[in-house]
This record gives sequence, structure tokens and C-alpha cells, in this order.
Amino acid sequence: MCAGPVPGHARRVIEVQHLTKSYGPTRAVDDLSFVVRPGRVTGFLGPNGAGKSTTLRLLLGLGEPDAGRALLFGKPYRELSDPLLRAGGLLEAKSTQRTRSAYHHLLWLARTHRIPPSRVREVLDMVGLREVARRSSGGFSLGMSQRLGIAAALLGDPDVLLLDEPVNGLDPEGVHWLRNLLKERAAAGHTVLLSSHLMNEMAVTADHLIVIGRGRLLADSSLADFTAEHCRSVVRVRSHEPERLRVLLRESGAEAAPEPDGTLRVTGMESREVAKLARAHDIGFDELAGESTSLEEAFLEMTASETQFAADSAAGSRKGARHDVL
Amino acid sequence: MTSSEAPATASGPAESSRASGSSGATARPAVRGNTMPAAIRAEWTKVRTLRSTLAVLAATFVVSVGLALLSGISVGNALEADNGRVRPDFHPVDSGFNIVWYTQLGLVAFGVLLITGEFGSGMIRISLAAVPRRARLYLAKAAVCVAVTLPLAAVTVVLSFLLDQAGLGEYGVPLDEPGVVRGMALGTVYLTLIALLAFGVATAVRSTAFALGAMYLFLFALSPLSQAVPGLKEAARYLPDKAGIQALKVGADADPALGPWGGILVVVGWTALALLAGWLAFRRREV
Repeated sequence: MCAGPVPGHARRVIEVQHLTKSYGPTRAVDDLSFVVRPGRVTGFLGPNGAGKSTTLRLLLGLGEPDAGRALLFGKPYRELSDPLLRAGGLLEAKSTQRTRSAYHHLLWLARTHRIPPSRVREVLDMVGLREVARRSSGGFSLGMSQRLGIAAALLGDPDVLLLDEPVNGLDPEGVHWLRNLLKERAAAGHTVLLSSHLMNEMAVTADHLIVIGRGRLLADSSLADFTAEHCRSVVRVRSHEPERLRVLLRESGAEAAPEPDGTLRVTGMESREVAKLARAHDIGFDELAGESTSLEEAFLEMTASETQFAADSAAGSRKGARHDVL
Repeated sequence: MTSSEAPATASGPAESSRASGSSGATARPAVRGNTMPAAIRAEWTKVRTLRSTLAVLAATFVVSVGLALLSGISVGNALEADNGRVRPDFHPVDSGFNIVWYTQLGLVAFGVLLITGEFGSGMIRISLAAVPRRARLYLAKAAVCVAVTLPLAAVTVVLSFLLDQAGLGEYGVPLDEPGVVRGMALGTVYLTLIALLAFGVATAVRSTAFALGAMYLFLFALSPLSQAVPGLKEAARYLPDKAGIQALKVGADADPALGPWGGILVVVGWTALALLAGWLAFRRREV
């Protein structure tokens, strides 16, 4: 989506400079630096515990960095006048007082900036909570809570959105809606930073990726560059003589690994070349399909070595997923 | 500011996301909106839209006033029967202010919930993102604490005094009895201060259970017990509840050395300390 030079692009709306933050012996964010520019959706990606939420909390002035700076419009968040009109944040969705209604939750928030109640009704409509606006937020599902949090972030119609895992708990319709909303705002020249641990979601939402692991920057590039750099093409071939083909492929410099379903997974060679090689050696095949490794795999490979809590359950399931795809 | 100025920077595609945003709400206000009065209004909105705080306030009022009437009637009957169950140094003015001790339990809970409810739910992050200047948020909360407890305390103190006197019947005293109006005023001030004190303590400790537990343990146990320990008795006069409640009294419960104004000043001191402690904990705390 980085189509052409837009003047606003040069602006460093969000700037993180050598940001470092530790909790006890754990270094949550470690000398992290990046810039988020307007006019595009920037995905902030990393496994659980990578430091995404900590970075967003520091950007919103909710904690003090041990070193470095987290700036919005060149200033610490706390120094912004009328912060809700400049930046809308969503941290944990389930952080409302349970017995207060969605409408009243947004109303008190609006009062802090003299935003009129009519705007509260507008954002409730935008996020699709109009019908349940008078119900206690404590009874909301995670998806509804996310919508309420997004409504709160949109309340001041800010230039910047900082959303921590906003897709969590949203139903497919909600995911689709949020994706369009973020893209529209980015296209309008706003700055959108959203964190996620799901690469596939980012692949369809973000234009730019900032990937972190163990609090450190792993990648900062456009989605297209990231794909070009990290995604290899893969060919799946179901051959009559898989062992022979595998040896031939290896000799030609490609990698080939047998899959449980009897196919060979070939990397390092284009599908046409694989077909040519097979034909040249008179090896028959029933199926031959080229695909590219998913961004998810590229992301998992990139972060696997950086995953901090390799032993914990989250990392365990991630590793499991990785074994499946390899 | 007019709505026509609203999305001036937006280009075409923005229109769909802002389709409903034409009411002027999306405009940048010409004057700064995020001010102290705005923060106070937001805090007031929080209080009036939360069932638990409203329930605490309503219960405080109803229970205080009800107890005052019952106590007045029962003491009046006892005096009538002359059965020796009323203390010999009974004073109708002091009797009328006895209920303040009970009223404070509710207002302490209110002062605590004002802040711990936010820490418990995590809403404090939303509050601080909206009002990032911590002194402003803290003062706005304290201001709302006063704005809610002061009128409620005034009505409760006056009404419970009157109902107690009505219950006492012929043993009751009229409003122009010496010490009555002063006691009503100081009772109102005391209750407001003790709610603020609880708010300060609660900000320092964050948790509803810890803050309420500490305050009630102090009021129900530590303060009365220290009164009973011979060596501590002299110092116990200066505990906030002792100093504050004796300030309303004119009979045997009054502390002539401290006096009503001295007593309330002691409470002011404790409250200032508690608010300072709360602030020191809050000003830099990670949320």
C-alpha cells in the first residue's frame, strides 16, 4: 500500500528510541528503536512476551522507560495536550469496571476531553454496539469488549491508533470490519500501529511490519520486502518415484523432504524446474504445485530462536505448529 | 468550532470511516478540552454510573438515618423506664452524634472504592491515558470524593441528629442547644475528611481488600484497643477517629484538652498525611 510519495509519510509520528525496560531480572524491551509513519497500517509483531504490550504501554505514558524514549509527535505522551484527540489506545480489552454500561464507560472518557455525548453514540454505532450500549460491560464477550475498546480509541477521532491485539476475540465479521476500518484510516493519512502475534492476520492488514522478539527489533520493513526476503517458494510434488526424484533434486541443489501424505516438499527450485527435471529423468508425477512458504512460517522461523519462554506453553504450542509445517 | 472544519486534513477514503462523524464531535476544540474541570466532571460521571458506589452511598444514608431513629427511640424508652441501662453521663447532644461513627464506615468504603475499583479492573490505564497528568487525575478524584461525601455527610448528620432527638422524645434537645450546630458542621467535616483519608490510604495500597481491611481493622479494633491500653491512652487521643468524633461531643465524651477545633485539626493532619502517602505512591507507579 506504499503507493507513491505522500508528504505525510516523512513524519515520524511514533518514534521509539533505544527503549529499554526491565521488570526485575526480565528485560521486556531491550534497546528497541523504530519509527511508525502515517498513511499505512503498521503491524507490530512478536510472540507472546516479546515486549509488544510493554512498548505500547510506554508509548501511552503508563510507565517510565529505564532508558531511551517513546515519543508521539516528538513528545512523551504525558506532554500532549488533549491526548485522546491525538492518539487512541487499546490495551487490554477487559479493563472496564464491570457494572458500568458501555455507554457510560465511553461517556466518562468523553468528559475528560469535553467530547460531546453525541460522539459517544457515533462511535457506538461505528463499532456495532448500539444495541447493547446500555448493558453492563461486565457481561460482554471478549469480542464485544474489544469493540468497546476500539470505540474508546476512536472517541477523540485521533491521528494515531495504538491497538494491542485488537483482533483477539473478534468474530470473522469483526475482523473483517476492523481490517477495513484500519485501512481506511491509514489511507486517510492517519497512523495505525497494531500489535499481534498472528502473522497471517498481519499479512492481510498491514502494509509495514515491525517484528520484535525478546524485546529486540528483528525486522522493520514493508510487507512486500518482508515477503520477498523471507518467503521461499515451495513446490509440492506427488511422484511415482519419490526417492529417486529426491536424490535428483538434491543433486541439483534443491532441498526435498518427504511429507506424511507421501508428497515431496521441495524448496530452492521453481515448480517449472522441478517438472522439467522429473520429465528429463522420466519420473512420472500425479501432482505438482508451487506455493510460497507462508509469512507465518517466516515469522515463526525468525522468532523461534528469539523466543524467550521456549519452555512455556505458548512457546510450546508455537513450536508444535512449526514442526507441523516443516 | 464548526463541523465544517472537522476532517479538513482527511482525503477521500476517510469519508467512509467518518461518515457519521459530521456532528462536530470530531472537530478539534478551539479551547483545550483536557482540563481540570473536565477531569472532575469525568470522575463525577464515573461515580454516578457505577452501581457499587451508588449502593454504598445509599446504604450509608439509609442505615445511618434508620439507626439514629431506632437508637433515639430505644434510649428514650430506657430513660422513660429508668431501668439503669442508659449510661449515667448520658447527654442528648452526644447521643445525636453517636451515629457518625457508623456513617463513617460507609464513607470510608466509598473513599476506598473510588480508586481501588480502577486498579482492580485495570481501568486505571484508560483513565491515565485520558488524563496523563497524574496530579490532575489524583486531585480530580479527591475533589469528587469531597463533592460527594460533603453534602451526603451534611444531610446524614443533620437528619440522623434530628431523628435521634425525635426518638428521644421529651429527653431530646432542640437545634439551638449549645454545641448542636457546631457538632453538625464538624461532623460533616469529619466524615468528609475520613473519606478522603481512606482514599489516600487506598491509593497507596491499591487493593480494595487491603485498603478496606486496614481501615476497618483500625476503626473496629486498633483504635478502641489502644484506648484500653494504659500507656497508649494519652496517644490514642490523637488517632483520627478519636480526635474527630470527640470534636462533636459536649458531654463526657468530649476531650476538653483537644477541644472541638483542635480535634478536627488533628483529623486534617492525618488526612493530609494519607493524601500525601497516596500521591507519593501514585505519581510514578507503573500501571
